[in-house]
Amino acid sequence: MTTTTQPDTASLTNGATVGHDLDADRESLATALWTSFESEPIEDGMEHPAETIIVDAYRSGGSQRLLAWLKSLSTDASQPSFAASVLRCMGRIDDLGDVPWRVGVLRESLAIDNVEIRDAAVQAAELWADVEVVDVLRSHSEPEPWIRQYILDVADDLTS
Amino acid sequence: MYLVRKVTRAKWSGGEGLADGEIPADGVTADLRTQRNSLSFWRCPTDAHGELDDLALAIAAGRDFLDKLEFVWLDDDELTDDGLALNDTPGRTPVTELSELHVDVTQLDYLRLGTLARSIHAAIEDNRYRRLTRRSVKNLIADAIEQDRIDTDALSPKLREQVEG
Repeated sequence: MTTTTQPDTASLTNGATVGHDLDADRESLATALWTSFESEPIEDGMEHPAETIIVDAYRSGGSQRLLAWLKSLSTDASQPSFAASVLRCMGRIDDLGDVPWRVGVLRESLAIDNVEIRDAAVQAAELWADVEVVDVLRSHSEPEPWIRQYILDVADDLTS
Repeated sequence: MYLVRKVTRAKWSGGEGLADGEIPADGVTADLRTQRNSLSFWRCPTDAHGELDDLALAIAAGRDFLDKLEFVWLDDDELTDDGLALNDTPGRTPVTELSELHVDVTQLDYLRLGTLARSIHAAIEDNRYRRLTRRSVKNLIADAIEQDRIDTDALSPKLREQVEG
C-alpha cells in the first residue's frame, strides 16, 4: 500500500439499512486491513497478516455480512491500491465464500477501469482455481496487453 | 550478465495524473524496499528463457506458498556504469546450486535508488519482463525436485505440500 489516504469506509455501505454496530464493525475491519497493508505490502508467495484478519473475521460469525463487505472493499474503485490488496489476500483463502460469490467478485472487479484491481482479480481467480471462472475470464475484453496474456494463461491452466 | 529481481508490474503501470514515461512512486515503494540500504538480485548469464527459469526457481522455491512470479532483468554493466555497487552474497534459496548467483545492490541512497527505479521501469517498457503463472512455477519446482536440485526439507511445508500434492 502506498497511497496515503484511508479508505472512505462510509462508501462501503451496500444500500442496506445497517445499525451503528455494523457500521462500526465494517469500519473496524477496513481500518485493520488498511493498517496491515500500510505496514507491510503484499508480496507474491509470501504470507501476509491481513489474511489472518480476514480469516478470523470470517470464522467469528456473520460470514455473509463479511462477504458483502469484502466484495465492497475489493471493488472500491476510489481506493484502487487498497482494493487490489484486499483482492490478493482474498485469493489466498481457499474456502472464502462459494463459487457464485467468487465469480461475482471477479466479474465486478474486471469491469473496473483500473489496472491494479483487474490484475489482482485475475490473481485471486488463479489462486481460487475455480473452473467456473474460465468463461468470465475468456469473455472479458482486456485493454492492457500483459493482463490479457495473463488471463489467457490462467484460463488455460485452469482447464488443462 | 543480467540482474534479475521480482516486481509487481501493476505498480509500475502509471497512475492517475502521471504522464507517459513518469515512474510511479507506487512501484518504488512496493518493490524497492531496501534493507540496510541494499536490494536483493540474482545474476543471470544470459536472457535465455532456460537461464531465467533457473533464477525464477531460486526465488519461487524460497517462498511461503505457491504463487505466480513476475520479474525483470537488468543489464549489470549499465547499473555499474551508473555508479551502483554490487556485492555477491549467498542467496536464501532451497536450490543450493543457485545460491551463489545471488547479489546485493548496495550503498543505495536516494539518487541511486532512483537510478534503479528508472532501470526497472525501462526494463518493463522494453519487455525485459516475464510473468510465470502459478502452474508454471509449480512445474519449475516439481521438475527441480525430480532432478534432485532442491533440498525439499528447506521448502516451506505449505509450498512443499502444494507442489507435491
